[in-house]
Order: sequence, then structure tokens, then C-alpha cells
Amino acid sequence: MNGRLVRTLLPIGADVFRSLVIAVGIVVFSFFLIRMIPGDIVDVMGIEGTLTYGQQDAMRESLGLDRGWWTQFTAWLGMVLGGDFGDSLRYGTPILNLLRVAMAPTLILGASALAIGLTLGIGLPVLACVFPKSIFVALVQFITLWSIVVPTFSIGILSVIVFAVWLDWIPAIGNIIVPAIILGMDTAGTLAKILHEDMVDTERAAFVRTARAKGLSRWRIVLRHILPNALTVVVALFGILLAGALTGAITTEVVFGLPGLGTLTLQAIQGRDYPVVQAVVIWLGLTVVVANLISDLVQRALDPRIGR
Amino acid sequence: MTSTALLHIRDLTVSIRTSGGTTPVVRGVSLDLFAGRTLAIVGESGSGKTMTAMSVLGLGPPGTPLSLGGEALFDGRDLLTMPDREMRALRGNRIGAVFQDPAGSMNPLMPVGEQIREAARSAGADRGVARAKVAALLDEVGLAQVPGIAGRYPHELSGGQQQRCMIALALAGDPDLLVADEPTTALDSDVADQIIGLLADLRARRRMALLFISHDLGVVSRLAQDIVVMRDGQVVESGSTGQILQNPQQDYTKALIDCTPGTGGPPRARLMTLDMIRSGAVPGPRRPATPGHTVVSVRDLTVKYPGRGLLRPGHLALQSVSLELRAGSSLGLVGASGSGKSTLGRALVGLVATQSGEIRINGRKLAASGRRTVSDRRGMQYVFQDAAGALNPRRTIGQSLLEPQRIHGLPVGALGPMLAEVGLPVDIAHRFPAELSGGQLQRVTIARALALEPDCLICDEITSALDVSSQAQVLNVLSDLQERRKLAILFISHDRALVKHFCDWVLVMKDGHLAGNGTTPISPNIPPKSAKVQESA
Repeated sequence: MNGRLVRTLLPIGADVFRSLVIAVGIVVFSFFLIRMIPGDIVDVMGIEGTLTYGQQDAMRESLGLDRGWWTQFTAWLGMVLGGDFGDSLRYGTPILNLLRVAMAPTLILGASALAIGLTLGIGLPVLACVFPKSIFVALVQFITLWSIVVPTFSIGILSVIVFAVWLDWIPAIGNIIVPAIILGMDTAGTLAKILHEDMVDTERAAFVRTARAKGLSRWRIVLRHILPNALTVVVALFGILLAGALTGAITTEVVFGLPGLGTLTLQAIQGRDYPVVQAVVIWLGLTVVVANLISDLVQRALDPRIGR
Repeated sequence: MTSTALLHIRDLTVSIRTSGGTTPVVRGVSLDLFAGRTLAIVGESGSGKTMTAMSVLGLGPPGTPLSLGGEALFDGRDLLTMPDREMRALRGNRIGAVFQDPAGSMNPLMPVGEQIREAARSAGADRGVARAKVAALLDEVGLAQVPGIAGRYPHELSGGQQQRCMIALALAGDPDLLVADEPTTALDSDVADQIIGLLADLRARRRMALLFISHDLGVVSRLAQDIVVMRDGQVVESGSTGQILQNPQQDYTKALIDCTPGTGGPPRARLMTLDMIRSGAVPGPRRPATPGHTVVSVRDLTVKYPGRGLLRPGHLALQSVSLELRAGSSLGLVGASGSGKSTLGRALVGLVATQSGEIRINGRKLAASGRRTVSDRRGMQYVFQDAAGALNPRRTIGQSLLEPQRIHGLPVGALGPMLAEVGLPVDIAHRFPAELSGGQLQRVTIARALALEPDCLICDEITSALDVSSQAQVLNVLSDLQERRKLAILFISHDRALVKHFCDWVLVMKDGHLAGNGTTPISPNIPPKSAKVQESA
């Protein structure tokens, strides 16, 4: 019994350990990445002509930017490990407060996009599998092609022009329905392609023939036998899909003028507001790491053949 | 007479519709199966035997459009014109089916009990009845003693247990007809025997009809009252089992009986092939058993495969295996899949590294890392199961055959004698692998392995993808070569009858051990008694 428990927990522990290593990597990476871009916040403000050279040096000193990267890194790391991301260089307010405000629109957008994506991305392949000679197969192909061919930002700008400027159906700034649909279509396309191909493959499996030999209805064969087996692959991709939805949300937000993480990040990068960029990168990175970890664990729970 | 047949098939034709027209796969098959009796359809792969049974049940390959013609009646009802809904009601309820691959035939994500319960529910049992039925069925197929069997997943069961569960599942609707498509082909011979016995029991106890599809006449003769022999989508011969086996009328049936190892001729004999029957030739004499000096010796060989990923333990594929290969003799290695028999072959040629123990060829010790010198490689050659995959599809047979000599910098030999040695015409050298049959391809890979004149040949399941008649040709070629060249052959196979027929000694592998004498080396002069095949003088 004990041995069995160890055999079950050991691979899970390995998954968690691997996730932690990646998380540490993200924390380190986020610090140095933004510093690769030439010019700091003081340069940016200097170009804007608001500060004299003397003021610039004084500001660098007060922000600690005159110290070496390594000194800055250790000081910052100490703060982050204590749960404090520091203050924004530009606004002087605590970053956690900024994140809290900006996160709401992004989460709403990301979640609704994911909901639309999962509904379409699973629903269409299922219908295409139950009715193999119907319009649903064409719909799966359409949405797949759409997500490959149409970049979210370009269709975003286009729909702002069409729906907001020409037709005046939606406000040009702050609308969330249209960007959610655009992002959802993007997620659905990736998902539908993988799931559809997988279901077509699973259809040929011997156990599906057994299910047919039992005399089960087509719906039952698809929902109980084909879909669960095809879904094990999709669950493995959940982390990647979530990452796609989040990064998509960031670019789409900017296009639709939503005051979310994306807008915050863009401003922070342009203004070299280092601690804000670092905090956002860490937050996004950890979300994806956690999503991947969860999808690994769910997959382990779903598929009795893994890790036992 | 015909009106009482449970399954009545007349002039059945099945064609696969493709964009380029239709390809007939079943051409005018007629058969009658009466209630409570067993009818076997026998034929080689591609003979249309499976398609005959599956097409009338609507279980043809998905996504492949079929055209059906002729007549197929089940209990007087027309199967070919029946709407889908009625056919579904028939399947699982009055007709059950068991398939070849028991591991793949059950949903890997569902406990087996749940799958049987689903079948019972589908056949009309309500919840409580279905639950009771699962236990009763598992008991009926002899799995009642296995603790917690209903809650286990398919991958947690052995092949035999999986097939028993499949049979329980097929019986969930108390069918009048059970269709069993090669149900023992994927199993070890001992387990296959038990499954055959179980099927015979169940058929008698339940008074159901059994339609048994197989390529193996030996198996069929134990179960069936009537046999239909099929080839190229047509019935070659049909009749009672005794009549077909004792007094076959057609050449093809005779060949099928004679070329099956274990049913015809003493061990080590050359096998009758279809061509021999046609030309009136007789197989050559038995291969003499004259074991020579030791070519390869293996002592306490251990192979461990590393675990995948972090913190995952490795897997011991071979543990303290010792054996001797001697010139001019064949050592058979049998065992279930995963028992380590292929790993042993691979370790010998250096495809996997070994952890401990030693391998010697002609007294020279080989490196444990799997590194082999040019001369090491020349001494030992490997013939793989999948001949089509082992030949480069973009090269002609001739190019493939001469490659070993080019690589080793030897004078390039003539293709004619090389091909003649394996019984192939020289004009085959200009053709590509895709243009040859499986049996021809396997003989080409043997010729290629022999191009370097090795002392030892490792044959890893070389006939398992072949029909019995092609298998007989390949084995005859191998017998001739062994006699002529004094080859030491390690013959790896899961087919005990075949190994017993072909080999001088037989070793059984189980879980990486040699069964019986896992740790003690075999003395070269006294092979283990149990492993010695009886020689009829």
C-alpha cells in the first residue's frame, strides 16, 4: 500500500519540482529581459525633456538604477521573495495595487475568450464526429483556417473600424464582447483542429469497434468512448491554450482600449518602468506554469495509464 | 434446410468504393451457420474472411464506403437492407463479437466492469440487473477469483484476462451468435489454448452459434464442426472439419494444411509450399542436426532500460541471461511480448548497451557499451520482423543488397547468386520494395544479412507478418542456408509450434529471465532437458 502511494506521488512530486524550476527561471528571466532594451526610465523622461542632467543623475541614484545589475537583482529578489514587488517607478504607487486594478478586465476578457474557445473548440468537433457528413465538418475546417490566417490584432482593428466607427454598434473603447469573440475564435481554431484530427484517429481504434458491436447509439459512442480518449491530448495542451488566450488578451486589449494588464504592460515597457514589467511577466509566467501543472495533474487523473 | 440457418449468406460481394472505382474484397461468398453450431472461416491475411463477417454486421472499417451485394439473412431478417437502428438493436443483443487485439478492443479509460455493464445496459437490462450481470459474466469467463477485477482498467490485466473480459462483454446481451475474429492470434499459445477451451465451453453451455475466423487450421480443428476456406475473397472449399482436414480436395487447402508448422511433418523438416503442390514437387529432406563449435556465448547478461524523466525508476529488461549459439544449429527463443526476447537479440548486435555480463563471438569479447568493431558486425547479422520497413523504399533491391559490402569495403559480389540462394529470380534486383510481396521482401533481407557471410544470424519474429505459405518458403530458405553455411541461428518468436518445428533447442523467456534456469549458464554439451526438442529418429 505504501509502495503504491509512493509510486503515485513520486511522479506528481517530479511534476511539481519541474514547475518550480521553470518558475525560478521566469523570475530571473523577467529581470534581465527588460534591461536588454536600451535606455532606462530616466532616459525616456530625459528625451521627453522634463529633466536636466543633474536631476536625471539624482533620480537614478534615488531609484537605485546607478548600481550594478547584480546588486539591483539581489535587492529586488529579496523584496519579491518577501511578497513585495515594490513601487512603480513612474507612478510611485505599489505595483500590487496597479496589478489588482488592471487584472480585472484582462481576467474577464481571458475567461470569456476561453469559455467561447472551449465551447466552439470542443462542440464543433463533437458535432462533426456525430454527423460526419454534415456542415459541422466544414465549420471545423473554417474555424481552423480562420485562426491560422487571421491575426487577432488585425481583425481587432478591422472590427473597431466596422462595428464602432462605421456601424456605431459598439463603443470604440471599452467594449469587451467583440474582443472576447475574436480571441475565443482564435483559441477555438487551435483546439478544434487538434481535437477533430484526434477524434478521427480514435474512430479507427479497436475499442470504438467494440462500442459499435455493443449496439450503442452514435451519440453515446462519441461522448463516452471517442471524446474522452481524444480529450486526454487536449488536456495536455490546456496550458498552451491558456497562455495563448492570455497573451492574445494583452494585444487585443490595447486595440480595444481596455484598461487591463496589456495596456499596463505596454505603457510600462515603453516607459521602462522595470519593476512593473517584471511583476507582469512573473504573474503571467506563473499563471501558465500553474496551468501546465494543473493540466498535467488532470491528465494523470483522467488517464489511468499514466504514472501508476 | 437453408431456411433454418441462423446466419445465411448467399453470393455475398463486398467492394470498397474509392475515387478510382471499386475494389472487390469479397467475391460471391456463400455459407450457412446453424443455431448451436460452430463454423470457421479459414484463410490467410487479405483473403476477405474478416470482411465477410464484419461487413454483414455493419462493423466494417470506419470511413471506408462499402458496396454490399448478394444476400445475408440473420434468423430470416435481411442484414443488408436493414436500417441502421435495427442493426444496432441486433448487435450486442443477439449477435456478440470478439476481436483479435484484446488490449486495444477495450476503452483504456474505463474499468472493465463498467464496459461490460454498458454492454448489458445497451442490450436492455435495467440498472440492478446489469450490475448483477457483470459479476455473473465475469464468473462465467473464469475471472471471479481475480480480486477487484471489475474495477480494473484494461492495461492492468494480462492478455488472456483482457480477452476473457472481451468475451464477457460480447455475451452481455446473451447473443444467439458469437463472432470471434482471430481471438487468440495475439496471445501466447498456452493462453490461446485456454481461450479456445473457454469458447468451446460457452458455446456448448449457452447453445449459441459460433462464427470463428482464423488463419490457424490447428486452432480451428479443435473448435469447428464446419470449415469454409477462403482465398482472394472467394470460397475455395467448404465442408465438415473432418472432411477438410483429412481429405482436402483443393491444392490450396492441402498447402494450407501442410505448410502449417506443427500440423504437417516431423520437426526440422522442410515444409510443403503452394508452389510445390502445384508443380508436384516434394519438400527436400530433413535438415540434419550437426551442432558444431560454439559461435556465440552469452554469460549473465543484464540489460536495464533507463526510466523516462526525472526520478523515474528504470526497468530491468534482461536479468542474468546465459546461452550458447552453435554453428549449424538453431536456438529458439519463445516468450510473451515484453518478456525481453527482442532485447536479447538487440543486445547481441549492440543496439542496446548491457549493464553486466559478457557476450563473446568466436571467443572474442564484445564491448558492453554496444560499440562494435567492423569485424564484430560482420560476424553477427540481424533480420527484423518488418521486412518492408527494413528496406529503403527509394532504393532498388539490388542497391540494398550490395550496400553491406560497400560499407565494409569488400569486393562487391554478383546479385544473381545472392538472390538465387534465397530462391528469388535475378530480375527482382531492379525492382523497388513496394513491388514485392511480404515473403519476397523477407527473403531479400535474409540475403542482405548474408552478404557479409556472418557466422550468426538473429531472426526476430521474421515470419510473424507473413502468411503460412510465405512463412513456409522463408523457413525452407533458412533451412537450406543453415545447412550450406553452417549458420548459427537465434530464432526469436512467440509461436511455440513454429519454434518447435524449426529449432534444435528451445529456451523460454519470462519477465527478462530464462524460465527454469535463469541464473545458471547452460552447459554447451548438455542442453537443459526440458528445452530439448524430441527428435524422432
